[in-house]
Amino acid sequence: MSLDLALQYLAWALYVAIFVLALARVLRTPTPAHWDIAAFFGTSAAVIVLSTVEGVLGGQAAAWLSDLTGALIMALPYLLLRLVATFTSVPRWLLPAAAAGLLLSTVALVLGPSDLPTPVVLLLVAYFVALTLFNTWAFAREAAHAAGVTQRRMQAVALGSGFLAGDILAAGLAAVFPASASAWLLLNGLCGLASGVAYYVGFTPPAWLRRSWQAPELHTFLARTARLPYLPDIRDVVAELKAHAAAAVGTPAAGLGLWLEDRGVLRFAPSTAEAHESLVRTLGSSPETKGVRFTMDVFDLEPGHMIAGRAFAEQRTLLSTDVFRDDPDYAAFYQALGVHAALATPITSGSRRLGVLVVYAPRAPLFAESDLQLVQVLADQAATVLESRRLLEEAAAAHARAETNRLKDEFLASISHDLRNPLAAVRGMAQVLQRHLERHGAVDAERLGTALVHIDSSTMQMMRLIDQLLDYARWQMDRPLELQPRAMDLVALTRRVVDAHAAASERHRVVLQTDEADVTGVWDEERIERVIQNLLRNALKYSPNGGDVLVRVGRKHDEGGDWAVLSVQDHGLGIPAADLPHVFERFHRAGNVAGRIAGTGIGLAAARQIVEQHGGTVAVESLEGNGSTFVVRLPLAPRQSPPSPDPGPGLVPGGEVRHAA
Amino acid sequence: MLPEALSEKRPLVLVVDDNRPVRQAIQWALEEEGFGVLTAGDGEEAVRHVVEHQPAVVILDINLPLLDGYEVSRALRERYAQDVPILAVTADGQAHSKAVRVGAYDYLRKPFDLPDLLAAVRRGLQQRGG
Repeated sequence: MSLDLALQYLAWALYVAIFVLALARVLRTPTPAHWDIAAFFGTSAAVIVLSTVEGVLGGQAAAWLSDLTGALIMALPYLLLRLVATFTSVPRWLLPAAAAGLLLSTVALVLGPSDLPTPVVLLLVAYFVALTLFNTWAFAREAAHAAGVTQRRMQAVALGSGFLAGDILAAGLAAVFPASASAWLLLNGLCGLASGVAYYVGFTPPAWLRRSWQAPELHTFLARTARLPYLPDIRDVVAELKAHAAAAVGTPAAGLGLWLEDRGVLRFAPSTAEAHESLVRTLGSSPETKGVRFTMDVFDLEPGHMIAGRAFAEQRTLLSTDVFRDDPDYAAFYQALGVHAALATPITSGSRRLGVLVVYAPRAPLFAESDLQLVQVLADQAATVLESRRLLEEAAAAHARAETNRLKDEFLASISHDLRNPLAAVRGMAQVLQRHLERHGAVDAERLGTALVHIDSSTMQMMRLIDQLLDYARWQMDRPLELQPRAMDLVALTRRVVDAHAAASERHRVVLQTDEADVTGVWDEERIERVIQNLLRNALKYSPNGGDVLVRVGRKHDEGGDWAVLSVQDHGLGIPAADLPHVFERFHRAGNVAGRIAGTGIGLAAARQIVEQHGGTVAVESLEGNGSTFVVRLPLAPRQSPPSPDPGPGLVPGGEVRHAA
Repeated sequence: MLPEALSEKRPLVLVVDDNRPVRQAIQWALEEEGFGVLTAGDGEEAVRHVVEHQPAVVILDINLPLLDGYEVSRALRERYAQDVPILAVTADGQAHSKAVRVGAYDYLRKPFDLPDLLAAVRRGLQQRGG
């Protein structure tokens, strides 16, 4: 057996094998592309069978047999073109022109003599080669746009088509130049085998090859998604997953719907504002958009609707090569997206349903089963990313809960400490006086007076703590304070509090500065006194080395209206920059004092609550080591504050109220 | 502090507490029992008094301004008065562990009973004497 014959038989075996595999596939999933592939290789197989019969019969073979074989060969480029037309656009005139060429070739083969004149042979070969090369170019172009497995398969098919053109060209040249026929026939055999191998790899790649082709894309995807769980915003995570999935599959667009169990919807966030805009426009005017709801910048899909919703509801991968046929209700949506095919697969971690990944393509993919596998792997990875993120969030929430509990424990310990000190004073005084009385029958008036002053101030201290605890309890239940507002003078109140503190502290000089004779507003005097107390006590407590504490009271007018302004400035430890945004948070204590200076961590939080419920603001300026200035603004005309839903009765006295703009 | 308390030959007790009424009550009770009494409202003053007057017993509150009870006790133990008996007095829940940390021979939790306080002070004096 000559070499070229051996090559031919090998090539034939490959073609027949591909036909058998393609036939099995089209019976399993009859898509247009699968039909075209089966038809192409079926025709090839028929050519091979007929050629074999011809070879066996030799000179006895009927002339029509050879004509039929020739016509079938001439049909191959046309069938290949039909396949190309399923996944990419070809010039509108090309298919009819190719069909006409096929018809003319058949006529020439059937009606012409058995030995066709050379110009006719050259014409036939030229038609075959030109059309096949066009197909080769179409496959190669598609390969350039594709990614991953699809890209490699497209490249193989383009290569196979190129070799097929070479195969026929060599056969034609062998007929035209009989002198060098043996060399041309060898080339013919080589090209035939090469096209068989390339087609085999492209159209029916073995699983191991597919996996090894998939690996680089998967690695890229894994490398890109590894850091995703740590992104602060879930929307960024979704956007990145979508972009990487689209890149890995080689499609222009992908969507990712997150399953919101409490609402029973899949939530999608379009990648760009423009995309969302166009979706809202097209869907908003269409009455048949069942199962889709728009909100501000997302749209919610009920499971069971659209390809994505169905894939999620059925928990299996779904492929639609024609979304307009499969999802006619949402045609406007797909039109806006500019897609024709969709591949959706559920994102599921164990039994936990997380969402759905959908990859869109402008046209039906030729190698859908490869994309299908890849998208499933990507969805699994997306599930891992989303699960990791959920676990990270849970861990953070648990940590925050533990921290709050720890702070609550500290608060309770601290409040107990703060109550026990004045209690010790009262008990100590009572017992001392009792002993004195027992021994001497009387207590001298001066000692008695001092003791009573101490007992009185200690009980006052305890009473204030108890009031704070009660306010704190309301606050724990998220209920607003019941303010008791009445007309009061802030200057007089501040002077009273300042005088009391000035007398109590030997190391500090507490000074009140004001140009106002009075600053009168309608506020809850007891609560405002507590605000001033808390600020002043902090100023003294956190300037342990003494120094001036300056308290100012004034008025201010701005676009928000007329304000009473009270500020407390100390020259103490100050607040570290990192703690500054949190000083008004419940239980938060700055890093430079926590554990060193006793405190409950609610004084400032309570101050803010009281001030804000009055419709005012409290702010702080501080530099660590340079002291702090707290500024409270209270509205001079009563108003209701937005954060408290129920300011309580009596906040706004009837009749005499002017509402600030 | 009462300067005349220093001149007399009676046991001197230093009372350290930043709560003035508490300080006053302890001072009266000790004076009634015949002790000499010094008082301090913060940690620095406390250390100064110990250095200058060598009291027989120190009644020490833990939460103090400037130097807290731990810093006061460390300063005393390491430099000034290694063997001065310290009676810890605190309103905290972990009074015992805090007392151990300042090396106190005994502790009381606020609010306390005066007889308990006086008995504890006497134990401290005996410890020093024996």
